Amino acid sequence: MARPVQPQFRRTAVERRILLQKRAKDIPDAKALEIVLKSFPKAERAGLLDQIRPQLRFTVD
Amino acid sequence: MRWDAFCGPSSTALAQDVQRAVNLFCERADTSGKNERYALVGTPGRSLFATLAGGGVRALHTEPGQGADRCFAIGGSKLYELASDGTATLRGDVSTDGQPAKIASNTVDGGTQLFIASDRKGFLYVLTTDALTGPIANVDPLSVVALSTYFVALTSLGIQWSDPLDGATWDPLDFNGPGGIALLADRKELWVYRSRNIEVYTATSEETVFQPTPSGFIQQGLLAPESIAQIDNAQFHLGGDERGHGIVWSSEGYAPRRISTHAVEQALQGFGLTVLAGARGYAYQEGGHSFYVLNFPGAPNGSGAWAYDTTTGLWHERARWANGQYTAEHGCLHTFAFGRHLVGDPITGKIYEQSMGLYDDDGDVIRRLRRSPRLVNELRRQPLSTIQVDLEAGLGLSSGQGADPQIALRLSGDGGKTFGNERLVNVGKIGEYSRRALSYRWGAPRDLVLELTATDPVPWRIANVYLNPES
Repeated sequence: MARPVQPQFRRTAVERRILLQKRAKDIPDAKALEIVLKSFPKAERAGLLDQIRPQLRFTVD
Repeated sequence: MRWDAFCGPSSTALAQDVQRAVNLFCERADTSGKNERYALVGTPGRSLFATLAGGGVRALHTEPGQGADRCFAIGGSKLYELASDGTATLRGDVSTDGQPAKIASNTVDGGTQLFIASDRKGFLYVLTTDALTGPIANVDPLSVVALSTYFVALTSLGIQWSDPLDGATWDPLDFNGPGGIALLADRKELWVYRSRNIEVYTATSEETVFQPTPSGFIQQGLLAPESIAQIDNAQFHLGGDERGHGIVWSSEGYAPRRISTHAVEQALQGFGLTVLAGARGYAYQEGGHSFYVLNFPGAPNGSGAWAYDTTTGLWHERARWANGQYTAEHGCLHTFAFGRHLVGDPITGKIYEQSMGLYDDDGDVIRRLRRSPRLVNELRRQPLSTIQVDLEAGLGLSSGQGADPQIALRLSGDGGKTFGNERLVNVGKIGEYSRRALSYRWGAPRDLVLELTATDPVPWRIANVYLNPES
């Protein structure tokens, strides 16, 4: 088992958007999605939601 | 006749076993290991250490230091730091839902932070500045542990972790699922307890840091989230799943081992699901005995806590004596600080010191009870002219209650269904070391059960009972 590596730098905004695309299918429910989206700038949230909507395991208005 | 079986555990089972040990635990008397022979020793007493003005104790935590421990307690919505003399210094406010809170520390990995999970909100306390901040953004922790430089929490996302050594920063994209109902950090592994199984995770160098460990999956669920405790390289918990509940498990490695007996299980399952799910466990070591203590707040009167001694593998009961019956103990949260065992009361906000060197319950008597197993010889009459209790005599106090300590004996001739009147037996004032605890003329019972009770605040060490000893 690999030893944990401490990241030297925080993720950039671009890296976080890419990671969101990868992790969207693992978000368990609408409450969790709300926590995830709130960590992005308010202006980006609607657009990000539209992008990941097809991958979500649940429906969101 | 030497009655070796007199000293034993609590085991009141359907198989006509009636024995109980309340506020007495077994210590192996035969150090050669050739015989399973035990003595009974009194459980620890308590004295008031501190009272939290904020309300019931919801969490206790100690940061060990070389002679400079730092002890923290959450009482209601207040975080306090306790000094070694019991002085409580208010460090700030957290939110409360009345449920237990969790405190995790990253100091073992070189950090300086405590992360507090309370009311599904996260709070951060920095040990070097004594600053408490929160609620922390992006995390709604049900529980939290510290592992491999990360704080790891159960949240709405599942298992969620902070930035390394930084409990103030939680990226909601750092999660893995599914979550669970309780967490434990053990030997660099993350144990995620669920209602139907337990899964073990480890920190990896992957982008999703915490990943399931191959073979780290246990098909036994957790019933009581607050029942988890660690001691002697093992985890203990009160289990339950779709097949049933009310068995106490120990896990050494990934193999669960049932440690409760039929007697314990029958007693626990009688409490009902709600009481069992609210069980609270803690573990501690004193005098070389490692105890796992399970408290059941809300259990009916007449019952208290069940305690398992990992050194003997035997169970005993612990309870307060109030209004003529046994009832739940005051403290069910534990920490070891300043060289003392401290237990917190979730109702009153009182924190007690618990020690084998204390012989009362903060001024109230501790009623110790030993009820023997049945002694039957083909249901023939057994003439019983003399009962002699072999105990350490002459340990009375110099004055007051305990100056002339006594035990009370009563006998059942029908296997413990009914008992005769109590008879008091003196066991020796201070210095009367050769005093013999003798009682005469007990008739000729067929199905003998002997019950011994003691309430004096003196050390109780019962080695054996002799029936009809030769003079």
